[in-house]
Amino acid sequence: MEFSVGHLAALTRLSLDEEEKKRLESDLAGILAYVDQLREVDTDDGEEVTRVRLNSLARQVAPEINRLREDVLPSSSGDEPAKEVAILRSGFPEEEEGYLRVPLVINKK
Amino acid sequence: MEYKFTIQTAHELLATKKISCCELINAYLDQIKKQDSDIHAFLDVYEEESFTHAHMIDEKIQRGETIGMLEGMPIAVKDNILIKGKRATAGSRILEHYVASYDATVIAKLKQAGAIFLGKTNMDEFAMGSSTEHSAFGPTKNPRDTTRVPGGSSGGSAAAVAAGECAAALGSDTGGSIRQPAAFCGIVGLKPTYGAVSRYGLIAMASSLDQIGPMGRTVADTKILFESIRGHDPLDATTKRESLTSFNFHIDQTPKLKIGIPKEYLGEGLDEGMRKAFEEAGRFFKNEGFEVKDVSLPHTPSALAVYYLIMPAEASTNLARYEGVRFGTRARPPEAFGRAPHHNLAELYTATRGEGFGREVKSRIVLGAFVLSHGYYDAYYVKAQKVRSLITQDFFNAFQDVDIIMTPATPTPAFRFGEKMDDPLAMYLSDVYTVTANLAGIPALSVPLKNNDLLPKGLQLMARPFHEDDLFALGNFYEHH
Repeated sequence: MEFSVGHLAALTRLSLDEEEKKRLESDLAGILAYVDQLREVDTDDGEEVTRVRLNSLARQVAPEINRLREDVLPSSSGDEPAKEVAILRSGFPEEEEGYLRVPLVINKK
Repeated sequence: MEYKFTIQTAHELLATKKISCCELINAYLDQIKKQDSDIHAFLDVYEEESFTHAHMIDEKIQRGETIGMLEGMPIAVKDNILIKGKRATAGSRILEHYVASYDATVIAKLKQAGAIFLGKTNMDEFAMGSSTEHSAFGPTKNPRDTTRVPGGSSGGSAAAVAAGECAAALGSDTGGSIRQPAAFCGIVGLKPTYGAVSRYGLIAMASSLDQIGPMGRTVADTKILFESIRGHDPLDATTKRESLTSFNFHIDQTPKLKIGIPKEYLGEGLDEGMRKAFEEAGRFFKNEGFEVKDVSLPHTPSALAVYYLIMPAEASTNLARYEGVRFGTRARPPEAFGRAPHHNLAELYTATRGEGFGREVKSRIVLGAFVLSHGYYDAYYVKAQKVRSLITQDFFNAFQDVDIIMTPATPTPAFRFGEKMDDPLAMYLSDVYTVTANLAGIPALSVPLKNNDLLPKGLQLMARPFHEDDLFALGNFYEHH
């Protein structure tokens, strides 16, 4: 199994220093070697078989499919809007005059 | 003052006015003051609000009104469950100052029932860990032996109950995070059937595995807490619609459930003292007239590998939302370090997440991304889901024959601090008996094994989906004999 911790860290937006990178490489090599044992398990690899099997197991547990609720707010949705917004605003990492401050989104390069 | 009340005892004392709610809350807050600077079960304690609430309950009792079983009961809450207006860190720096903007459904239900929240408990960061050593805010100690871990990731909740710092607690379980700390600390913990308890307001780790569950000193207490938090929730489409039955069982009316012991759980890796205590339990049930037989769950050896492919994949997706833009800790501006400002959002994300996440979290995010990536998705993630269905099928086959599957909860009792921090696989192996219930979605209970050693050991009982009452009945029987 080929994998590059550097590449994956970039994909998942994680900064890693050299020490972290090395340790992750060795930790993950160990874990991947361990999970490789699944290769040996016979899963009767037809996709149709799996889908049918998963569906029938799911039905034993929860015989409902796609039961959705109406897309409306619950009737008592808590405090007045001003209070709710105040809580959300209190969590802004950086704010300016009540607005959320973020770095430049579009890079004019 | 005595503090290790069960919910039932405390309720009776309140209802008969033998103690006031303020006295009750004070007893627990006293315990916290005396011990928690050492044990460190709590991250936040709500002293003032608890007393305010307790006063209101006392006034209600004075007026002659009846109170519910959980009214005035001091409950501790794991810090990945949201209480509106209160900090929720999930044990991570990236949420160090995050204040929840809504209540989890379980919290709303407990508020309705009049429970008092004493505070938030410590946990492994984003529930990733089996010892609470991965908390960004320092570890929690096992009250039964403070040189040892309380287990994880609900280590704070388990320690709080075991140390008499609350009447009962809420935890969460994705691969054993309620049952394993319950076993290590000598208390009772339930992972409900997937879909029995709403996950709305639970900081998500692995969405097909997570469940919130109760932890208490006795089986009866655990059942009381479970019944008040379970139920269908329109805000969580994975909760079951039908109402669940409940009965008040009496010991003499314990149904003669058939018990199966899967041989795959008794192989190497199981500590000798644990094996002996477990075999004792098997003999105990036989002597009491229960049918105890061998069963087989042949795909058990693959379970940990399946878990460590599916869980990181789901977790890495769920943790993508932590970028420091709208909420949470944002990376300090590089200008502060004399460097050029972040050029773009990607740099901000990378710096924020790099600083805010701990080592174990980064490891699982990277692993998760890998198993989902192009070229590897089929060999790893899809393969794991297929084997998962085989594991689930094993359980359903066994439940044709038996009502309860009984195993040790963990391969060893609580280990010492630092013992398993060098090799992640060693840490993961402490979940080897618990991950299967999450993969199959079935309920599982950990109760203290009768044993003569000072170190607690846990007995795990598993049952068919939505048959938590079978677990409570058998667990209660074991507890009282």
